[in-house]
Amino acid sequence: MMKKALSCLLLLLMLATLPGVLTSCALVEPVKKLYVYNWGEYMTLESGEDEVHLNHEFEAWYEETYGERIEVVYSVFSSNEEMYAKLRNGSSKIDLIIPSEYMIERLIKEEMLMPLDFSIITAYEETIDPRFQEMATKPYCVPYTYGYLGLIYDGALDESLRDENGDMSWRVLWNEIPDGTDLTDKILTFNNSRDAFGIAQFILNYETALKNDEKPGTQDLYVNTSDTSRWDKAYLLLEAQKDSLQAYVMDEIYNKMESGAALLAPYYAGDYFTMVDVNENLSFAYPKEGTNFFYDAMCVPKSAKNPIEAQRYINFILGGEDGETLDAIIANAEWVGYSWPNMKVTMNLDYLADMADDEDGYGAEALSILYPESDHEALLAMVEEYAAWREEAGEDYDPTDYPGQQPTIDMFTDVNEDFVTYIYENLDNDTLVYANGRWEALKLTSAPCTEIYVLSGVIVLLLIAWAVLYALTRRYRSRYY
Amino acid sequence: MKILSRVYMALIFLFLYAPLIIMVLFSFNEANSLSNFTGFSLKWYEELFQSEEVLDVLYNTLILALLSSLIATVIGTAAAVGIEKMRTRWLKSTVNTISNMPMMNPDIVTGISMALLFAFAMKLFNMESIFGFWTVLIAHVTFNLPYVILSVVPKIRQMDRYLPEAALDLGCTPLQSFFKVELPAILPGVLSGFVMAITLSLDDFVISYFNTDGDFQTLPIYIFGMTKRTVTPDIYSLSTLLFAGVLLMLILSNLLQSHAEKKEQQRANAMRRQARRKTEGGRK
Amino acid sequence: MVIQKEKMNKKRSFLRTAAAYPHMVWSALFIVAPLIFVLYYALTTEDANGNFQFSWSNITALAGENYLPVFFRSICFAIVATAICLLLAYPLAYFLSKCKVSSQRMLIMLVMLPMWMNLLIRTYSWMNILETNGLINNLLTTLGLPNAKLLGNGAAVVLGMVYNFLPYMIMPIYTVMSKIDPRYLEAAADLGCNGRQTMLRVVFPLSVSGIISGITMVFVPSVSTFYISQKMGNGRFEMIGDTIERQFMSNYDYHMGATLSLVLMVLIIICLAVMNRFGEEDGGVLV
Repeated sequence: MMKKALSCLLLLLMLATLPGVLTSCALVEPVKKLYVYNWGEYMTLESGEDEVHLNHEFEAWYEETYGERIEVVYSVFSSNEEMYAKLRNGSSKIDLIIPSEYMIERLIKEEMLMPLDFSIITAYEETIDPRFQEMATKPYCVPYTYGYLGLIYDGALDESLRDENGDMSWRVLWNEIPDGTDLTDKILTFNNSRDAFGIAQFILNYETALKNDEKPGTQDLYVNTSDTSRWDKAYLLLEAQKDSLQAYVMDEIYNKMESGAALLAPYYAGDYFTMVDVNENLSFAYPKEGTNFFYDAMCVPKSAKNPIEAQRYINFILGGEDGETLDAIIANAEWVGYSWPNMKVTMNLDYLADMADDEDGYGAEALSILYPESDHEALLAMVEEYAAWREEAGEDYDPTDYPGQQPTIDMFTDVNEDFVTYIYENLDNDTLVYANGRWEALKLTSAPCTEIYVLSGVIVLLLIAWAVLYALTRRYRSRYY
Repeated sequence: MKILSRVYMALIFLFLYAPLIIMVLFSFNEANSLSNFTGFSLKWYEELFQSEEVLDVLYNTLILALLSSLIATVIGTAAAVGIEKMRTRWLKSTVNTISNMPMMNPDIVTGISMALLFAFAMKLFNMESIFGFWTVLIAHVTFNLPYVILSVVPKIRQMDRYLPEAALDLGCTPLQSFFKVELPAILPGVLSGFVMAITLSLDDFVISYFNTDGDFQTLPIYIFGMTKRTVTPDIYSLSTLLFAGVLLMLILSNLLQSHAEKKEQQRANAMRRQARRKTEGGRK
Repeated sequence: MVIQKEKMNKKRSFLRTAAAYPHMVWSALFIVAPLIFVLYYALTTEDANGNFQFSWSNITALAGENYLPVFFRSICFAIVATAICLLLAYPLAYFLSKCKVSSQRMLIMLVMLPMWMNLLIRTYSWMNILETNGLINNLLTTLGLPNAKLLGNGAAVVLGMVYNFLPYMIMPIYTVMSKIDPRYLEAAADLGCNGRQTMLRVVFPLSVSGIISGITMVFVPSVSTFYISQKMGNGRFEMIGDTIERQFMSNYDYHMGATLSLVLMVLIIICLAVMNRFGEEDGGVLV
């Protein structure tokens, strides 16, 4: 009876939703769908006032430019490997992906990407930084952002984490804090094999160079090695790290760092700004051993059903043929916070000034974090001058009226030579299998939980004892009855 | 002893309800925090109704639950009738064992086994992705079936087995006899199976997770995606609303039930009184 | 006439069994076939061109040093969680069955109600309570007490399992207990049993079947869970469910994933068989 009444209510509910189903079935939707698969927190999709929803902007732009309606179906992944699994098993419709460089190399090798048609991506030549136009992966991808790995930490720890020279080492992630502070269980690290191994490998590279009296960063012995014994060394380092860690994380890091549940973590520089927006106590530093230079680029898989539309999407992300979508793109760049290979963004003084703004942006450090390879001091001086002019000009300023200096691309291209970076290359198949196996082994070993083992052992013993006792008493009793 | 048992029960209920209370409380939090309560606000409820994505997901979940439990109820009821009638013993027990499989197997095994089937089918026929609404629907029907059968079978056993025969002898066609005689008799079982199926389908995460693409999301999958990044309190407010809905439904049905029971009792009493009066009258 | 009737009966009974055919077809397609595919994937590997080849390598990889500890760990956690569930649920079920009949219905509803809330949300809510700067620790701080590490250890994982699966233990035990005829208890008392003896010699044996089904209903989901251990254990205690999920969702190794699930399934079937045997024997002798 109770269930009867319940189900009556449910039936009512069903009748209420039925019209919706019927209409959605009856009107066969004429709208084309573009399936975009991107990293989480990697595009501004806010639909409030004064906020930009990039996909809605694209839909509007598309209809205006091509006279056709389109709908973007957007989903996110949290690691390159996850994206690869989804793409390989073919369970999802995907028209556009934005993975990182080593994964792109792998996808190219496995012939899963489509060469791009640059007659559709008309903005490419003029907008993409020349450094990126020379990349070997060029015909298959257009870079979206780039960046470096760095350490994000609670600002109060700043002094403890720096050594006598004021440098920071990746070793702090092993709870080897220069002043002896204990951060056990406050440290996070990457939950993807390439970045987790990468950090151990930067350390090994650095220490080997010091031992051999070489300048660190001149030789890469570990990051892209195919020597399994070197992978074993990195593995041992990671295994030793396990006890000081709180967790292996990817996107979970936002919650943990923003709330202060963890105090120290390596992550992508651009995401630091997302976190510091919420928790202003956080700080950021590049460790002395060097770091990874990565770029994430837009690619069209061979299996894409709408390759033309996907390439138009790429063109939109670059600002459109005549830069007509640049405002949305700059808003996106400011929201995402990564470094941009798009010259129309990085040469834009408004973007630079907004990023370096103390109140609405991220302060003066923003430029040195985002563009550490550039001549960021000169850049900052220029930006401050512009900001002052903008302040004076009032709300209806016109950036083209600005009489001062404009940044040039030379200011960005590898001016800072002390900044050591490594690029992840795609590993050959055997090495990849080996590295994955090591990662798997690392994940399978667990933190100590002896108490659970002992407890379950006791329970099993008790059960057995009870069963034996029962059998005995039964036999004993049956003798009497 | 009585006090002890009361205290014990209260403690267990506190344990069971602690996270739910937290959830309800923080859905009214002003700040975007799930650990510090800064002030009362309805902002996350507003946000919820503005978020097209969440409403889409909710709609998906409800449609899926209704459709899958409807299909499962139809197939399952028919199956229960058929299985009960089976004469071959081995066939009957085989069918029973197989249909109970999804109930015995861990969810993760059921989920991936179906995903493997679909993946292989895709590969075999060189199709583009078939994952999405239909695969999840099939998966849900499959794991709902045994529960429907389990709740219908006892009702069939309780029913007078000569009832359908009588109907047939009185000129009903087999179909008529089923719909006019048997179905009303087993209806409570069918309905409780249906409700059970809806509950399971609404709550399922693991099986849907392995059988969907990125496009078709149900509420649990959406929540899973969120717990990987940051969970905003609008999910808490959505859960609170759903929870309140369920609570309301249960209370309502409970009231209806006790009302109906009271009526039944009154009727029974009246009949007894009448009968007594009759016998008494006879004696006089 | 008689012959005709017999014919009709035959036709009728054929019609009735035919009602089960859609279900049988469905089961064959979506229950049996998928399980065959699990076996098939477990016994094959994929070469670079995506062709399947028969091989034992998955099975032998399983016996290696990596995976056995994971199975062992999952089973240990599940045993502890199940035992705690039983200890918590048994008295509760007993007390429930002793309540007034009218309030029993209400209380049982209250036991089941949390199950209507999504498992992920419930677990996440626990995380907020236990986190380093979660509710309990905030409370400790305001009281001036040192913070405790509550999340990311074995106990937290067990807590997550116990919390999520406790109602599965309460329900069957309660059902069995509420069916115990109170006259048995009276008879026991009349024959000179004290409270403890009644409990041990009458109530407990009569509730064994409920305990058995409660144990299976808690053990199976605990041993195969993958969300709870990731969240409550901060991913530091990898369970077999986590491993399987990773094979499918990030390693792209369906074959290893299928092998692990196959073993998990066999393991659980063995456990269920043993439990059933146990239950039958005990129940048969005792009741």
